[in-house]
Formats: sequence, structure tokens, C-alpha cells
Amino acid sequence: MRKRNFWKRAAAVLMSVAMTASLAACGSKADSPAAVQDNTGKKTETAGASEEPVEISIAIWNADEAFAGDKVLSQIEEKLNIKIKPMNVTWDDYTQKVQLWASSGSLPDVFAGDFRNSSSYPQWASQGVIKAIPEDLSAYPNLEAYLQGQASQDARLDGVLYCIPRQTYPSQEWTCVDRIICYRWDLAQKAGITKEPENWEEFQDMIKAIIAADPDGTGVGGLTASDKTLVGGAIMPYTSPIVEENGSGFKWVEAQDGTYKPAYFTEDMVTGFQLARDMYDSGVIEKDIALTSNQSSEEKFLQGKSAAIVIAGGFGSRYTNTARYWKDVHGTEYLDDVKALNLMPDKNGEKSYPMWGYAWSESFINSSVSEEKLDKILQLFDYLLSDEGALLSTYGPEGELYDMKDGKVELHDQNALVKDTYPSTDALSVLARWNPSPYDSRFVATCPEEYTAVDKSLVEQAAKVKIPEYNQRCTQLVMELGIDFTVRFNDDFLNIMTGTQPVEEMWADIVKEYEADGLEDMIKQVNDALAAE
Amino acid sequence: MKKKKLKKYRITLYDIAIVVVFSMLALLTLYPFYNVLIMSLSNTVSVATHTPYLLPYAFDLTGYKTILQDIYFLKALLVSLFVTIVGTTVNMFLSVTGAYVLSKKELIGRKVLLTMILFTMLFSGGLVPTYMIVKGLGLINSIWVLVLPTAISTYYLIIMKNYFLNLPAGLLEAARLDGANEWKILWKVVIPISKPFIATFALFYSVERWNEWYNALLYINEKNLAPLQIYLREILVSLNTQLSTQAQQMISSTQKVSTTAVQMATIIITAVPILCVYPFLQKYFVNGIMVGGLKE
Repeated sequence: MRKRNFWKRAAAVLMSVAMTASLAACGSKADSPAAVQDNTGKKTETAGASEEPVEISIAIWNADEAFAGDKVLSQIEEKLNIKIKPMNVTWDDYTQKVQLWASSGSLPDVFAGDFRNSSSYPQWASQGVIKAIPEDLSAYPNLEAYLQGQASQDARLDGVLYCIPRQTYPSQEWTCVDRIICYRWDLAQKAGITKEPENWEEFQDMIKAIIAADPDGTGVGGLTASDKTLVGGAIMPYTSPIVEENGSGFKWVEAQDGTYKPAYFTEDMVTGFQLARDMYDSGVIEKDIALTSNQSSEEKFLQGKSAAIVIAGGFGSRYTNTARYWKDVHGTEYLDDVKALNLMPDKNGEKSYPMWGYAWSESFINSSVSEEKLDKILQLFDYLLSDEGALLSTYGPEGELYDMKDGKVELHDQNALVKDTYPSTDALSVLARWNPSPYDSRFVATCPEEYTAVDKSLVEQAAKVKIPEYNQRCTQLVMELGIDFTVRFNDDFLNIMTGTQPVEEMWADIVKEYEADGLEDMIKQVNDALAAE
Repeated sequence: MKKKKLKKYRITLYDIAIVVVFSMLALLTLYPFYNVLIMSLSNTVSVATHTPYLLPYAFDLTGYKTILQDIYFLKALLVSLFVTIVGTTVNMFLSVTGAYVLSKKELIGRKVLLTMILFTMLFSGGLVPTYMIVKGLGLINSIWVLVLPTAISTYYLIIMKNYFLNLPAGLLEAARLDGANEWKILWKVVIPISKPFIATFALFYSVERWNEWYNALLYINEKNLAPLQIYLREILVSLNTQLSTQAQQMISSTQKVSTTAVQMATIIITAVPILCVYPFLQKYFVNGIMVGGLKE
């Protein structure tokens, strides 16, 4: 009898513990309207009177340090009557964290990431995870004008925009600086080369001559890269500038039968892959390119052990890591020794460069934000895109660290970092768009002007290049239909380049793998949907 | 007699081969660490001029200075020390008491409990449900999230239970006859005779707690609460996003600190504290492992 009572009591205790645990686990914001725990772990009261600052949680890279509090942040918060609460993410973990937050209903009010070209974007939109950007943005004129850009138009799903793309460049021709080959012109001259290369053949001859002569006796090798995935983007425009986009994206072109197909599968990819294979086999591209890492490659180039290097983000992007040490190591000026390879012609002899989207990453708004909070968030973006907000969020208040001279920012101390004084500028200046210094002359670049001049010269060349015809609607349809299909360009490129089997055979095998992944089905779905419109 | 002894310990070809092979293996293990050490003492110009393989081409402590001046490094160090000390204490307390109780065959529902414990070893709740429970318990951005979800290792618990099960029953019975209750038997008899075994598991647990990063990655969103391994991970992946502005300024200023040197200095500083634990527990460690293999 006593034993039975014991089991009854034990069962009652276990059931109550289980119930408490389930309630704790299943609890949501709706369960406790007065006080909720967000994923910053702090209990916060729900928005009360409208006079109170509206709290906006923002997840952006390095937010924790940036939004710790400073004059710029206070000024913006007071102006808009908001309170920004940081949600820290790093460059390494932001994708994983955002996905986890989205799955568990713990997203912050605003979050940054590059998701609009992935299957997450249409899924979040259809599942009501992210909020649509209102059609009527007349109350936010700067944002309204900004969202007229091509990137925003391309990101629409069934005509509705669910994100604010973070603009990198103002127009297509600027994407040519996203993959630049820097080569040792001083070594080339010492090796007897007298003319800068104008096509891939001349480039290969130049690198071979440098390796053979080894003028500095450093055992100079072939082309390296800041990242192994950069090489494909630099070389594949030889086939076509639109065959792939940043390693996974793809554009659609009209095939001979009148249907639309991904350019990746209609263009003559073998020519580009063959060029890469030839360069790799002959040592023009270094043999251990697949193992290269950011630092080791830059150190090799600085040591004079690489004749060329592929970099991303402009000629001056490696200034901090490489160029500024050049004179200490070589005793000569970087700009005298190193040149950026001009735009190379494609297989038809026309100049070509990677024509990608020119807004990398975007900001999303959590669908659970109230109308009042949405208004404040849009006000914040509108302000950051205004002339006043852009300058304040990048350089702090005028007169303190900079003055405007002839309509251009002039920093009091060229070597000082603005974020040392105003840490919030580190996040606020890139919340709405990336630093516009490459194309907006009012803003100061992070490297000397001679470096940005190299970029501008490349952009001038790119501006003359004709953009091939492609169908952006098909790309949007892939998103709208929720098709989960990506090309694995970087893997394909590296496998074929470093492979031993004939290029044609390897490419044919890869195409078969894509077909097994549903390539034909995707093409049919997209063409059917296009025909139905 | 002397001759006899010499004969006994005669060095054979086999001994030489063993020494050579294991010396090479030791060298293979030590060299990467040595390379990290000499890289941590380099600067940008020295690395650019010579790749240091065997000898350091510079003796520059700026990498270490940069890291030690970074407030986030010091905070991360404190977090890791807390998690290692408190976490290991919690781990050991729960594992030893839990294993001891489960080793008692007369425990009611022992088989059911063991089956439930074993089940969690084979099947987990999954990432998202676990995250929701942790969030529901209010542990997001709490330092306790680095201690509580990993408060006990099922695997270690079962090994400990098996060890306690094999302790001489007579010894425990004698203590019981002397009037000791189970608590007293555990603390006065079982733990003292199991020191090597317990020290081994304390070492395992402390290394795990020191290396803790995944829970921090998922559940910690504040830089101030990030443990050292997260700091290290960040600094190796993207140096500039993790350092404080002061340390960043040192790197970007005219001092020209090598980013490699800073990264390698961080590795050295991060590895040293846990390496210091090994010499103290080494003698127990070897004994403990052997004890696990004995059966009556």
C-alpha cells in the first residue's frame, strides 16, 4: 500500500516537472504580454506610451561593440526617439545564428545578412518570418529613392520587396573591381617584357617569363589568390560575363529553342574551364592554389614569391595588409611595382568582366514588429541614407574629426580611425549601404587616392562593355516558386582546373549531376510560369 | 652483478627503432606548436623577408602586447576560467554522485533510469528545440548557459557507474557495518580510493570546459560573455572584427604588427593555461586510464 502511494506521488511530481518544462519551452511572446524575454536574454517591457523611445534590436556585424554608446548613436537615437539594442553577430557566425533565430522565432527586429539569393528568402517571406517593405514610402523619401535601384527591383517576390539591399556599387560597371588580378610589372620588365598584357595569352606569356627568369631569386611562382574561390570569378568572364554570380547565383538567357535556361548551362563553359586548366597545368596559376588562404597568399605576394594575385573589392582593398609594407620589404613603391590587369577580352575578343549584382547582403525586418516600430525602423534607414545621416554615421559630427572642404570630407587626422572615437559608426555607416567612397567623391577612401584611381580606370573600361541580354524575371521566378537549386561554381571550377581528365568529360559529368539535382525540372517550372504570365 | 644488470637492460635494435619512431612522432606533434611560437614572435617585415621554419627571424613581442591590451581578450579569459572551474566542479559533483547512486543495484527504477540516460546519449532533441528550451529557461546571454546544459556527460557517467560497480563490495560493507551512511561511504571511502580515476575525469571535463565554444556560439550574443575559444575562433577567421578598437589601432598604426603574429600569439596564450593543468594531473591520468581496464 505504501509502495503504491510512493509511485503515485513520484508520478505526480514527474508530471508536474514535465508540464513546467513544456510550458517553459513552449512559451512565446504571446504567452506573456507584459514582459517578454527576447534573445538578448533580457526581460523587456512591451512598448508603452509613444513618448517612450522605441526599442529596436539590430543584429549586424560587431553590433555589440558598435552600439555600446557614443555621441553619434545618442544623437541619432534622440533625433528619431529610438533606442538601439545590439544583437552581436560576427562575420563567422551570422548565417548560422540568423537561421537558428528564424527557426526558433527569436529574430531581432532588424538583421543583416546575405540571404536574398538563397532559398531562405522566399521561405521566410511565405512563412511570414520577415516583413514586407511598404509600397508607399513617400514618408521616407531617401529610402524611397534608394529602393528604386536595380538590386531592390530584382529582390521583389511577386512584386513585393522583403528586404533592403545593401548597395556596394552604384552601377554594373563597378563590379569589375570585385575581381582584380594584380601582377608584378617590375619583375615582368626585368624578365624582358615590354608591353602590358592585353589578352590572356599575353598574360600567360608574361607570368611564364617571370617564373623562368626569377629576377629577384625568390623562387617566384604563378598566380595566387586572397581566396581560392576568387580565381574562377576572374577567369570565367572569358566564356561570358554572366555565366555565374559570386559562386552560386546564375542568370537566365534565351536558348536557341526560345526557352530560357541558366547561362551556366547554355554558354560554352568548356572554353573558360580549358583556359583555367591550361594556366594551371603550365604553372601560370600556382599548383597549391586550392590550399591557399588569405594571409598565406598575401604574404607570398609580399615576399615576392608570387608573380600575381587575385584580390576582391578594389585595387586598394589590400592596402592595409600588403601595399603599405611594400617599401619596407622591397625598397620600392608598390604602385611602381604592381599593376592591375586591364579588363581581358573574352573568347570572342570583346572585353569582359564579372557582371554580378552590385549590392552584397541586405537588411531584413522581423515580421512581428509593430506598425509603430516599423515606422521607426524605416525612419532610421531613411535618415542613414540622407546626406546628413550618411556623413554623421560615417564620420561623426562635422567639425570634430572632419571638415567639409570643397564639398569633400577632409579628416583632421588621416591616420585616425573614426570608429576609435565613435564606435557606432562601424555599424551605422554600413547598416543601410556600404561605404560609398569608391563612387561618391564626398567620402574618403581607406587607401590613398592613387589606389582608387586604378579602380576608376578599370571602371571606365568596363563602362564601354556591352551587357549581354538576360532575363531577370526568370531569376525572380526561381525565388517565387521556392526552387532550391544553386550552382556550385567554385567547386566545379577548382575540380576541373586541377583535374586530370579531359575538361569536356569532367564538365559533362558535372552537368549530369545537376540534372540529377533537378535542373530540367527547374527549367520547365520557370518556363511554364513565365509562359503563364 | 653489474654485468648481469647491464645484460638485463641491454639496448636492442628494437629499442632504438622504438625511440627513433616515437621521437619522430613527438617531433611531428611538437613542431607545429614550435612554428606557432616563432611566428608569434615575428613581425610583418620579418615574415615578408623570410618564412620562419626553424629559426625565428625576429623577436618581437608586439603580437602578445596587442592581445594582452585587448579588453575583450581579458574578459574572455575570465569567462573561460569561470566556466572551467565552476563547470568542472558541477560536472564532477553531478557525475560522481549520479554514478555512485546508479551503481547501487538496489536502487528502485534503476534500469528505467539507466535506459532513459542511455537514450539521451543516442538521441538528442535537435538544435532548434534545444535552443527553445534554453531560451525558455532564460539562459540566453547568461554565463550559466556554458555550465548547465553540459552539467553532466552521459558517457562519463556510465563509465563512472561501471567503475563504482566494480569496487570491492566488502570494503563498502565494512564501512556500512561501522555505521557510515551512503554519503559518508561516498566521501570517506569511495572517493579517496578512486582518486586517480576521479582526477582523470576531472581532467577530461576541465579540458572540455576550457575548449567550450559551440554553446557560446549559439547562446551568447554579447561579446562580454564570449569565452576564450570564441575569441580565438574569431581572431583566426577575421582578425579585425574581434579586437577592440585599441588593439586594432595598434595593428593598423605605424607599428606594423603582423596579423599572423597576433593570431599565433593568441593561440599560444590560449593554449598555455590548460597545458599547465596536465603536469599536475599526469600521474593520476596514467593510473586512471589503467584502472578503467581492470576487472576483478
